[in-house]
Amino acid sequence: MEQDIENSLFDLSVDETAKDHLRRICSWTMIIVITAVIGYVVAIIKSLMPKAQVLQSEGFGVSVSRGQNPGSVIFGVIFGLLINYFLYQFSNRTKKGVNGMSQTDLNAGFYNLKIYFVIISVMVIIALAFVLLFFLAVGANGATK
Amino acid sequence: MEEDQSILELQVDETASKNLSDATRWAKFLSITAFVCMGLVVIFFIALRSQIASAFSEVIPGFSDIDSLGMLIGIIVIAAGIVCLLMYFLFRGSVLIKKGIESKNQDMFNHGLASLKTYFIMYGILTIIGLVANLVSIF
Repeated sequence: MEQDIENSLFDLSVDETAKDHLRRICSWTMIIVITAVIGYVVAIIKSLMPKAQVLQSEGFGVSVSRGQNPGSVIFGVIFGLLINYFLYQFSNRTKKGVNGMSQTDLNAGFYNLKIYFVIISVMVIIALAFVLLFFLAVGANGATK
Repeated sequence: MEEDQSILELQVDETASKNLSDATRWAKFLSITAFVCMGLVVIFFIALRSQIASAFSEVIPGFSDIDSLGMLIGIIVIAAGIVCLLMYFLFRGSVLIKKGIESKNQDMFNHGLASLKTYFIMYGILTIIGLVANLVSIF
């Protein structure tokens, strides 16, 4: 018990400045989540709109694609919702932790922030791998010609 | 009195330290990757500007003039600059939070949180701008 109290005296504390920063971070992450969810609804609406419109330009018809493939939109929305779920959990639990002085909620909030960054980083690594594969395929194609 | 208060305060305990350290490690990786990617995009775009201009001129008539290409390069450079600024705050935040936890330095930890706050504010503003642009494009 005494050891715990001594340890806590030497730990970093979440002082008033840190609490203020964390509250602001929570507010903005909640704004990001809400904006993202509205964005997904807009993306779904756009994907259901008529696909292409023809712009007439001095006698030449130029087809301009409007809206994305519904499959890619659904994939994007599912992926986005997954990321934003963890951001929402971070915002919610950290706010509870800071306002209610709950160490468990604060720790859960930080855990969700970690998962949020891990998922984004893994997705970035996968995307970079695809880009690299694309360039390798283009290079190999060019070399065989 | 102060000791009593510090016992009752929220702490960055072992669990919080571990989670925050892991989060900052991944955030640092993300920011460095973004810096490298933005640099590559700008270099790639400037190196292949003539091919890109000819590809665009097939879709958009009258694009091939030098002003349009210059404007496009300007937009790309500005966009890369904004992303780099955003990632700078994420990088700074992750480095300071990690150093603050390791050295148990409260000021450094708070400065790290301030940078992370700036990152999320900037990210939030960009998200709102993106949403408004998306809504405008519907009508």
